[in-house]
Amino acid sequence: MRVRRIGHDETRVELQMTPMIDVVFQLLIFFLFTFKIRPIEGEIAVTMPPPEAGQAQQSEEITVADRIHIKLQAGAGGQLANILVEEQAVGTDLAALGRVLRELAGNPPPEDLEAEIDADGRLLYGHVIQVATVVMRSGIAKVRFTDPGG
Amino acid sequence: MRTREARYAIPELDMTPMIDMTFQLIAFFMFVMNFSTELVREEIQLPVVQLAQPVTQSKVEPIVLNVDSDGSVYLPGEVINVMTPDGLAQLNSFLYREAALARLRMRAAGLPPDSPLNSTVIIRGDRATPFDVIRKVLRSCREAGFVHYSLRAETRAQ
Repeated sequence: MRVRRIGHDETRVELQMTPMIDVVFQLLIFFLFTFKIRPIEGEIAVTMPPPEAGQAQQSEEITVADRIHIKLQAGAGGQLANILVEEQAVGTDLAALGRVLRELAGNPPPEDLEAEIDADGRLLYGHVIQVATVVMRSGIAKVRFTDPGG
Repeated sequence: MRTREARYAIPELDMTPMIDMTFQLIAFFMFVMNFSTELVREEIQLPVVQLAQPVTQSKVEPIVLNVDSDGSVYLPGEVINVMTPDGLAQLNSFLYREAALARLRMRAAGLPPDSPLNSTVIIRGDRATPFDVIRKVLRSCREAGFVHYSLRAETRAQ
């Protein structure tokens, strides 16, 4: 038997979509405007002990002779003029520097091998970092910078 | 007549696919957006290298030093210039304060009191900075007792 229901039960409940869509669009616009593509950052991890500890270590390390000395000379405008590896001029070619370093480091390079970068004070930081990257890619795990003043 | 009227019912727009898409977009932007907690200065042009190691996240809060080409260092709340004795003194006092805080944190974590500082100093130097400036900053950090440094660079393939 069919029961016919009367009254308000029959009215359909309708969801109000408009406010939600408004808010959602607001959010979308916020994220669109704050969106910014940042270039990927990499790092060169350097471990440098404080000056007192560094001095004590230095004398010990010299006897082991596991340090490669890299001198960077600056030219006009802070550009890289010459690279000297153990007093041997390499020029400014970073690929050549990589070859020389790989040869010096041997295969596989010893774990405690360290490269000491002695950069001219006028040399631009970008060049120093490029050289440091080449050093790390040639298998030398540790990089340090000389500090004549400290 | 009655049957005719029924045909003119208000057409309803189906909102569901649009809302789906909009939520998808919002989810995408939310995940892609990096609310970086690091104090990053956008105007500093990092050195460009072909291949740098990806950044390792340390558990200990790092100290970020943004170094501009004229020797300005952006500390939280102030800008100092390391080429002036005044600015260098300010940088030193900031670093000593940070080192003292790091030592307190290490003691709270139960590390031996004479172990080296475990926090990393992130140096974001502009590529056109003379190396003297970076050396000065590094020297101040070393004198304050910091050991670990992360020199930031932009990785760009050839």
